[in-house]
Amino acid sequence: MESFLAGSLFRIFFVPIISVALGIYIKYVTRNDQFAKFSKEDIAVGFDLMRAAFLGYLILLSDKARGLIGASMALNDAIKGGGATLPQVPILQTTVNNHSHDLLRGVFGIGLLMLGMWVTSTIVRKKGWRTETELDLWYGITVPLTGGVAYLIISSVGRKLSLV
Amino acid sequence: MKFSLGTFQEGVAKVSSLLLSLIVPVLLVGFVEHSLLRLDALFVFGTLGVALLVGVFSSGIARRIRKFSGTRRVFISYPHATSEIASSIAAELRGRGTKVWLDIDHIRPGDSIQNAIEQALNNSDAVVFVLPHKMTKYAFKELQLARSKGLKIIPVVVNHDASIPAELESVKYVDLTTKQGQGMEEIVAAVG
Repeated sequence: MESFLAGSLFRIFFVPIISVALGIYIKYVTRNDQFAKFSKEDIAVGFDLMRAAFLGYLILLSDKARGLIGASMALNDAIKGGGATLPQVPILQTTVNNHSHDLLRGVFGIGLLMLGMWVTSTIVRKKGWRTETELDLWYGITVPLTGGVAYLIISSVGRKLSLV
Repeated sequence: MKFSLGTFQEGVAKVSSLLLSLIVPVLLVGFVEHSLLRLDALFVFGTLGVALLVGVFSSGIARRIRKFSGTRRVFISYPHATSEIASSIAAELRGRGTKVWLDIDHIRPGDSIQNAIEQALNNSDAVVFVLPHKMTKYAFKELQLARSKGLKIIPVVVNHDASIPAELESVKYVDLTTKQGQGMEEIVAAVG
């Protein structure tokens, strides 16, 4: 249980889903009584999921950046320490290199995620509205929702995949 | 159901986007990892499948959630010559705890009538349709919108010379021309 709660799957996948579900509920129960009917538009939370996944991805990147700083400082200390700590230098250099590469990949990943959000928002804007106030079931709700979950998957398994 | 090139193209577009939305994220992740097995494919396909089903059945899910909330919402469509009867139907329904949308209560000067009506229909569970002497284009539009949203339509006859549109010919109507009390009860029962 502890390992599940500490894992990125919980932090980056389940926490956003719980947050979005709570958001739907709170919006529904606090809405003006005249418009309190629960509609399919309330389920259209694809972009909320995408945003949450994007933030989760940034958190993973931030963890990597922190790891890079720690490894760099340790490397500096090892070099300054002289003879006794010198054997650690190659290992620390490899760690610093890995973290640097991960961060670079992470920046590339941010670009891809932003591109995906832009494409999805364009699809919703152009084809996602059935009428002025009603979303199309397919392009307005299903495509962004599936995209949002795909984003969560990519973000939550990003560490496992060395995406970040 | 009519079959045309348009519906065929729409079908192809839907199937393609379905496949794309399912396959692209998996391929992207799989490409990066060089092995789909390590990803736990069941988790990926399972969650994507759930998201897809929730989206496709969002109307039905919303309808089921609404049933739990209890309060019924009714839109009253009526010709302005029968505004008194419409108001009395509204009062009767409100007295029984139903939320009623009546244009004179909710549309203010400067509001877009079409948007307001559409939004009200989006927020309604049923439509009480007071049949006019002659169907106007506005009455037709409201009827078509209500039908397109799958709302229950309760036709109400208040004049002997009311015109029943073809769409409602097979729907049992409430007759308020003679026994008003009984008719009101029928409306309340039909609204549920």
